Amino acid sequence: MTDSFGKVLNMTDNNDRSEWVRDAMTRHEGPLVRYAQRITGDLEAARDVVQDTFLKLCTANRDQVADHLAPWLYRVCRNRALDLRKKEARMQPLSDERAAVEAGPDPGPAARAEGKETATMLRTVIDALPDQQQEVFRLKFQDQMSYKEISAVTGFPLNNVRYLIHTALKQVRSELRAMPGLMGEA
Amino acid sequence: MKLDINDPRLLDYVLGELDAEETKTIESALEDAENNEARQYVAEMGVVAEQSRRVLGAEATETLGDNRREAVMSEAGGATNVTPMRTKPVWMEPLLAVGAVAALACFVAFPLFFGPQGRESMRRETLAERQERDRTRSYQLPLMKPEGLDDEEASLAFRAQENDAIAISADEVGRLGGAPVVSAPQAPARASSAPKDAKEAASAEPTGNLQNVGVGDSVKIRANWYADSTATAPSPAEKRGRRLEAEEAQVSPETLEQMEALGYLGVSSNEPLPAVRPQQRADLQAGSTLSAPPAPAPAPAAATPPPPPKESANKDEWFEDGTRNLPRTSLAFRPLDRDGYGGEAYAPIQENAFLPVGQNPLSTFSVDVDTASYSNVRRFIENGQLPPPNAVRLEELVNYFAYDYTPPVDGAPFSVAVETAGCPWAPDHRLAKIGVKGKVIEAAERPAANIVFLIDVSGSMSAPNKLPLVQESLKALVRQMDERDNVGIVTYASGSQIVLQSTNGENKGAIEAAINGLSSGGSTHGSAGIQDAYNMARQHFIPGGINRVVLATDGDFNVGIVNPNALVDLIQKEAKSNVFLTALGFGMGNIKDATLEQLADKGNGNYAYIDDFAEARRELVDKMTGTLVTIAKDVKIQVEFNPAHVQAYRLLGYENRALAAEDFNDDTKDAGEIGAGHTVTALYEIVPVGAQVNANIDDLKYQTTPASPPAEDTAGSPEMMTVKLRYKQPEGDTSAKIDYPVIDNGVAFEQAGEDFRFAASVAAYGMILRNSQYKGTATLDDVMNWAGASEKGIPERREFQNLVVTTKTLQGQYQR
Repeated sequence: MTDSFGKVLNMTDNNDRSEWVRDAMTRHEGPLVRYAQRITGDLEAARDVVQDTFLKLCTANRDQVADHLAPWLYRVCRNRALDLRKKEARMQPLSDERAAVEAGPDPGPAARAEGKETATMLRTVIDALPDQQQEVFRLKFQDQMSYKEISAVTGFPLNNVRYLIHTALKQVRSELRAMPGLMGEA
Repeated sequence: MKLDINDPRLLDYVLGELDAEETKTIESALEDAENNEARQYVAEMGVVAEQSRRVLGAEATETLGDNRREAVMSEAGGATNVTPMRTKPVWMEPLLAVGAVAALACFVAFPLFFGPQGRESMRRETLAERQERDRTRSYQLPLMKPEGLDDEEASLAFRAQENDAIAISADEVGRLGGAPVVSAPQAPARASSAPKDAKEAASAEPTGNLQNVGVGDSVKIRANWYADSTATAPSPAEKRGRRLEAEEAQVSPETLEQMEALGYLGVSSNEPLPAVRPQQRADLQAGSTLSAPPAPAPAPAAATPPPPPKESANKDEWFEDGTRNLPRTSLAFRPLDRDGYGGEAYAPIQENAFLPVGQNPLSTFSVDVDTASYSNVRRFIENGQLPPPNAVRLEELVNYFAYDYTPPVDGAPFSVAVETAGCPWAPDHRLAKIGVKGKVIEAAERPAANIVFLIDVSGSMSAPNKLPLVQESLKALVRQMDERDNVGIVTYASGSQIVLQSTNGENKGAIEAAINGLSSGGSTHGSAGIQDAYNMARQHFIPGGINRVVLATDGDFNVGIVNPNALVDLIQKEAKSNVFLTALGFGMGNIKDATLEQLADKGNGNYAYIDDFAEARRELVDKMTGTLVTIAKDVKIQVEFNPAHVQAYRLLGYENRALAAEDFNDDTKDAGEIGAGHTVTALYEIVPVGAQVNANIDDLKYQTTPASPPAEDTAGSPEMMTVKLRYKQPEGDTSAKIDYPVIDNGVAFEQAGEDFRFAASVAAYGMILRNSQYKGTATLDDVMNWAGASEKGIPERREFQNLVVTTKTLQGQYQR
């Protein structure tokens, strides 16, 4: 049988599709909510955004989407989150954290590093990156995307993605170098 | 092959982004002994990358939650149609179209019961409903006060609406004309308060254009909507998709373009209108002066023929239960700024052109120390967006930075110094920098302060970067005060409230407690609050002291004050009492930059934009004496150029500070203020005699240039120009004048002082952001060079340089 668009519809498609969506959700829901939350700032809003994303997946053209599922999901998620944020005009947690870092008197990386874990320091450094760099940096190192995928998700041209990641990486490195004892702990 | 550690391929290699061939090249190069440095670098970066991966990977993830998962799975199970993405408008699908009409019926039939869209209702919507909701938008129209109502009545009339149906005034209809309407009201719908019969609603046909709609009607307008809405312009494919949609909806491409030109597209509306609170409704019921319906809105004076007044009698009885028998005011149709900055409003800037000196020997402007534009621009760039050109005010960018001007001597309120050198973006031109420095007053020496904080506590202020930041900022300011001072707090939302009577600055505890106790909610009714604040300030006026109202808001006066001019008039009147105004803008998205700037301007005050605590500290603590202590008011500058040396000139910025030549000597004309320790910088780009001028003005027909022969006593004078300055003492009424003649010594740009070069680079940056026709050969790389490795005033200037780098990235992104 054919639907109104002249495509052949397989009766077993339903179940496959169901499984496909479930599978995608299991694999991606966590990272997506984490990603969305960085944009919306609020966990519940992020969950809404991700729910919407998967709802969209339900009616998406599976053939077109399946081979680049992750970037597609992230892109839809990003747009939805930005849209929501525009509506609610809330500040990102990124900026919040940045303000806190800026405003407080800096005890100096050496002082802070004493007795503190590498991981926390590194996270602080990463959180202090400007928003765009941070987003792209996380997509690379947290969500394991390639430049091309990141470009597809964010809409930034490939060269810009590359530039942002390089800049961020160099920044992270220079901050880490200023903290004794952190480099070399592989 | 020698590898430079700055070679970007090294990082690509670390990140595994090189293709097979390049990887091999780099790897074999790295094995060479000559590339030890590169190898070490690669190793180090590899460690950083790996650690980052580990740290970020360990970050907790949150699940979607059972409810939402179920919602998705039920949708996944039920979906039987494989809908190709956007090759055909979804609503063409019969099933969905029926669903769409039904959904539409819901919207039309139940306007009265449509509360704010909470997240709950979003979840329970079907996909079809959501898609339909996405495809039609409710638009709000600009707030216009119908004649015959005063502000109070009009604002109550507005608040009387508790649903998100909207009303349009006849004027607006004329202006909008031709916008495609999806649903227009039918007479029965308006007269009855009972839920509309769904079938009747479903038969409501799109009327095709707004001309058939009248005052008090509610409309839903079919919008162009691209599902993946982004802040950038639509791609050609998207545009074509929209055109197809428009054809389906029987909207002509011309109308579509018109709508686009008016910026009506992409508005994310579905924002609920402020609801009427039960207390307000009771008030309305009780209020006797408003029980009789005032005269209906007047016929428009628009060029397009006004719509026939449909059932005008019914309009007065819109609200059948009698509690709301007020005429509907028209509402904010918030045409989205072309660049997509919904809700923000910037006054347009018409850039100053090159003026030939023969016809324009005098340049006059009011002095400005606002710095809001810089913080605002920074906010945009750091959030990954280029700012709208009208948000970029050159003079505010330049004046954000501290310059090392010599302070005044002998008790003069300020000093004036002018530096001239080459113009870096137009080698034939000269650049003149006028620098004014206010007398420095140490914090301990400052006069006693009488401050009233006027704080916007409406609903829109509840975001974390608004009221909470306001509270922290004000507490920082209060910490600087002492027993000489008085502090009071007035808040305004739907009404105004005196939270703290003017209290001695010694009682910091009480003041801080009052600040901490602030909470937000309600709509924004600014005028009452302003009145109260100024009253309080006047009652505790300290002669010779600092008397100020500090306004903290996001500028969102969208309810209550229907006439922005009334607000400005109010401020202007109050300013005559020598109580000055500091306007602090908070938050983003709703910030009415133009409004706030105007308020500060008319209020003899200054305007700063606070985007985080660091900025708050800068404005309110570090620059506190400057922010609070005015040492001269109504400060104006007039420059006379010598045609023997100058052919034409251009003032960079200060477009909305321009004064007529005769205003200079007119003491009744309001101008800017200078605070203690503040500097004011103005730049002129000058076309010297002998250089090529591109001024667009015809040669005079009846006079030869130069317009008149040079005055005898200055013939042969080496002076390029004379800078004149008028000012009044803070509590005075007559102005004094100082003259400052300037001789250009032909210094090259590279030899100019560091402040000169930095100021020029900031101005060039502003011009590039505005894509100004006057930016000459300037590029962002040039800006970075000209700003140089300047070490003065370090943090702000370094931040500026980082900003330029980020801007470069963004610019690249927008030039696809």
